[in-house]
Amino acid sequence: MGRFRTRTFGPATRLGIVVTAVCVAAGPLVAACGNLDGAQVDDSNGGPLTGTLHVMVAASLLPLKDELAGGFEQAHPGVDVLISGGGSSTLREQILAGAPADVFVPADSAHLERVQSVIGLAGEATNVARNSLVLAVPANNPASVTDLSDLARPELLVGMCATEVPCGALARAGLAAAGIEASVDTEEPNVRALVTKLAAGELDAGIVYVSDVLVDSDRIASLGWPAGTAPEAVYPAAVLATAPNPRAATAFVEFLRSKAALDIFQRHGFESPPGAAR
Amino acid sequence: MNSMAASEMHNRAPHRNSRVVPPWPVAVLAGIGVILFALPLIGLVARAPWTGLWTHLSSRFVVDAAVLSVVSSIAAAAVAAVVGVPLAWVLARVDFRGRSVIRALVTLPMVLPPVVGGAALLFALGRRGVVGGPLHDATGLLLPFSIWGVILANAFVATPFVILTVEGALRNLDQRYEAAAATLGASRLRVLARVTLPMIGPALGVAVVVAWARALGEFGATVTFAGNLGGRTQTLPLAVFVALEGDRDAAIAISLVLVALSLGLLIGLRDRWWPSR
Repeated sequence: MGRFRTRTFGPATRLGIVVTAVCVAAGPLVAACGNLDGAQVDDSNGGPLTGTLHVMVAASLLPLKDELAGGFEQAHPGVDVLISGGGSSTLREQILAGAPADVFVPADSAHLERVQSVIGLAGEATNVARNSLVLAVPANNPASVTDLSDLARPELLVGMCATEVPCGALARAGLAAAGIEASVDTEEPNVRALVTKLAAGELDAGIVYVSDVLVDSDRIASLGWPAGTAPEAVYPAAVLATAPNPRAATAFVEFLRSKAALDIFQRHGFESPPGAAR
Repeated sequence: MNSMAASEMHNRAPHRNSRVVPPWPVAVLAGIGVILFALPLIGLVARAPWTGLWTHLSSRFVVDAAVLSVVSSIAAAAVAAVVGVPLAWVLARVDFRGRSVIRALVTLPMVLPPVVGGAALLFALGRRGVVGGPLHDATGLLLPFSIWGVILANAFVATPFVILTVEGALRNLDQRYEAAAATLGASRLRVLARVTLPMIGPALGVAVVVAWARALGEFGATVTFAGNLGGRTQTLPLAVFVALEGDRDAAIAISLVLVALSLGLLIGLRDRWWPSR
């Protein structure tokens, strides 16, 4: 049985959600969409940060969104952070289609590079976290899966991410390296959709991020990556050239590289990005 | 003239009245309405890869999805008719407590986000579902990740169109014909089969076609309940969704086919589908 999460939103966020919906629908037509709460964004370097900040994150980061938004808002109470997420490729297409986003945090650099080449970035992209893939099964492991080679068993229900999203591309590369041809039963559009089906016990095994297992640890279990080095996703973050709130966006990317953010990442199973000097 | 127009609204085949000129605010708003629906199509046509259209449409990826879509949507329309017509008859002819609740329940998928319907189906009829669990243990039947799941998800969203259309037709039916047949000694089932169903035949046909079109376009419930796998559960709408992020030209090519098909269908139906009646 799946679990529906409920979240409560503060009034500002609730308004923000409504306004965001309006802005996504009519963004190009509504001049106020860059600055939802009507406060003037001060582009000079002084003064506290204000306004709404739209952050688009890879689906695997969604379980952290409240903590990340809360952590940033604590330091910058004038900013209302709205984090939305989905498959990195879905987000990429939304951004290319003009979604009013400030910061993009996909689960691999290819999606960011595509955005960079089409609409441009403000400043450099910077890696903020790392996540590794694991073989995951429902908590009681009904099909007695022990190894990656079990994914080739045709009688098992095996789920993977679609090749378009990083977890799918990475998983396939990892399986190819291990010489395994999985007998896949579904290719989910993003990793959270896959986790939901695993947690419901509808799939026998799947390849997800280690962070996903921590979110639902009473329903799904990780078997690690039982074949050498696990494939890893590296999450770059960047301010979009079209960011409606560039100052807050820059500060948010800075925040993602901070010790406070790293604590949040690590608590959820992420690691510091490769080569990060903190 | 107003009363004339009003009386004509109830006429089954109103002749065109060329003298009616809409007041300008009505004309402007109606024009905006047309633009709202026409613009996306223009966008699709403008971006269409006309030269490579056939190459895109004849790829294995698209052909597999098309075959699955055709088979599953026809099956779903059949399920919708088999389940929907009796339900419509009960709703139209039997006066019972809770009828409006039942009607709301069975037409809920029309307004429910399809992804919610898919999640509900998964938790009810999945391998670990409330009903699906015992069913799987007893029979080995597995609905998700199979064509059966696709058909069920499609039928879930399509059946309400049959129910509402057929119920409307039954309510508009002149019941004296049925009464006459009964007086002449026909059993209730025989009346249903020989009088009622033939009389609502045209409406039933329209209902099934609309249900089929809805099933053909179904996405959210399908991907949530049946998953997404090329050749097994990936229907045309799922193929569009996947291709949008990889091969946009293919996505547009499939979209054009779906639009052309649906538009042709609705034009073919002309004004015969009036769900509010």
